[in-house]
Amino acid sequence: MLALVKSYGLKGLDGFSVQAEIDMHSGMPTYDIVGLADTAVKESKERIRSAVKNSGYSYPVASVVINLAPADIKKEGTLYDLPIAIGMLAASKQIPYDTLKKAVILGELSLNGEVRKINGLLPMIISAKQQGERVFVIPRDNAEEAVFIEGTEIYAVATLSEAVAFLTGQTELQPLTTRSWQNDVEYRRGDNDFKYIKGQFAAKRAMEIAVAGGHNILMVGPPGAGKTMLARAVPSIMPNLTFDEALEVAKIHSISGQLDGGFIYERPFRTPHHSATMVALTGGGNKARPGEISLAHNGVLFLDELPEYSRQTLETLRQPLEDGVITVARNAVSVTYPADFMLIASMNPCPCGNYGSATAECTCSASQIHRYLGKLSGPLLDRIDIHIEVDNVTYYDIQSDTLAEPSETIRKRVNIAREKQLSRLSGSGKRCNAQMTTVDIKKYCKLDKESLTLMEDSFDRLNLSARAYNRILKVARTIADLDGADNISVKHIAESIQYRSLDRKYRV
Amino acid sequence: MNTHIKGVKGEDIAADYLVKHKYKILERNFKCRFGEIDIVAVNDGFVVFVEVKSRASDKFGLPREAVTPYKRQRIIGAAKYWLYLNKNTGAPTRFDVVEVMCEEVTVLKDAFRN
Repeated sequence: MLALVKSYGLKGLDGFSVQAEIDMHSGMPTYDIVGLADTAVKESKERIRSAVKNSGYSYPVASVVINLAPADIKKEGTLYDLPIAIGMLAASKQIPYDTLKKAVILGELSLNGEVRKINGLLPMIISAKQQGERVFVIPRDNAEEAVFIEGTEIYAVATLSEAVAFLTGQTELQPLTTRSWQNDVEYRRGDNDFKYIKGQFAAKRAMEIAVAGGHNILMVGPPGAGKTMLARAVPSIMPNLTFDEALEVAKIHSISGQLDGGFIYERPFRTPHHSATMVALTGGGNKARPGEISLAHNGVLFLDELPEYSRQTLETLRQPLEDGVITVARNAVSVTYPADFMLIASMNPCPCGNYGSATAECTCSASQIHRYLGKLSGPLLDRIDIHIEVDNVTYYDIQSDTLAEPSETIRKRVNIAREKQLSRLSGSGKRCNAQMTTVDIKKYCKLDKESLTLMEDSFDRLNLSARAYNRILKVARTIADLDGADNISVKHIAESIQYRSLDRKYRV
Repeated sequence: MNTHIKGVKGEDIAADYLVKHKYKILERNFKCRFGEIDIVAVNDGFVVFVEVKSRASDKFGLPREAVTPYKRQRIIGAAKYWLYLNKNTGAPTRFDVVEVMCEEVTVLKDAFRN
């Protein structure tokens, strides 16, 4: 007998409907899966066999053919175990087929008949919902991912027997109760708070501006100055995730199986080591998995010791930094993942680390410094809005017991500034000042006479490029937003101009 | 040799059953270096190579489950050799499996094609 069961598959971030067709006829016992199934799907045979047997059903002695339609798209993963098992029980007439509830079934089976967690559930449910599916049967361990999806009936099951009992109508299950999005989680990484960072007032101010406007930032300074500490404290002042943002982040994490807490409530903070390969960063592999920059979407990508990364790796960041997306093309698939992150980078000014420091002497030769800085290309630096120098803290600062401003206070200011940007840019799909295009800059960054004079003066004297000019305006816009000012005035421009230190001081 | 006797008995039951069902038996227990065939017969215009499996109960699975891929390869190899010996390489052929369980006989026609 033939049984059809609905399931789903994933191609990048988009889902597609999969129909599992299970046909069975008497004859020599065989088990064949067709429909471009990968090894994990093919191995389902053994899991299904044991799960079916250990759930109190008998594994049919029959010739079994399973087709996963559409047959020309690759299917991967273990999520077809449950639908195939259900279809097999129906095809072997152990459960009634005609009265079986129609649902999209997803889940991996363990040998004892339990339903296990799968990867990529969230994006599949979202696409399926858009394509008109309403009823889902999912693993209970994945339930937390789906609690924010409204307008569907999602049933979470823990075992194969439970799924069968529900689908045949023997028992009733309560659909998942959906929650509305409320992001009031307290920031949990308590040790990385701005109040513990002594001194470094200028750097903290720059960080606040960078976060408020979503600007990329590069810190230059001697070792031990506190660059890494500053970067690690950044998530504590990031604005709260909105639901749409959280959903995007959760989808990507769901695909890579990194959705441990059930859902995403905090902005991601990714710190790939400088030995990371290009593929680890951009995404890829034969299944075109998302890389670090996509996992950092709507959050922070922190590259410590920037010049230590391979040149090729860094250059691949240029396009996503500009577009906010990365297209991973492999011979079988081509997938576009969002990669709209805030880049925080840190570096020493020279190999010994002390070049330009007020307190220590540099021992590097001019050519060494030149070579070290040469690892960073101009185009990459151009995409970083804010450059700051972080010098060593003084003894006086370290000794002082006074706590600095806590992250919570800074975060409030950042949130207010972000709201201003959101309402200003509403309708354009942009969320912060860093995403403004030239047209936006013309519209929202009008300068008064005084500011224009200052700009003109510095443009010539500091030898700024056209791109740097736009960056200064964007950053000035953010500074004005933090200041609560509607228009950019000369003090905002003046502060903004000094965040281009790498254009001037270190360009040897 | 108890099991061997049981097996031979099963084959006898199968052969009787096949004869009653319009199989003309050409040879029994064909053995060569490539493998063994229990019964070679003609049915419906096909040269049929029959593997007989007997079991006293289904406690350890059905008899048909005991025809492993390896055994299948041995039967196919022997069949090719039989056809060569009998100068019959162009004939339409078929592989059947006959299950004998508690005197009850089931014929699985064309069993090696899924």
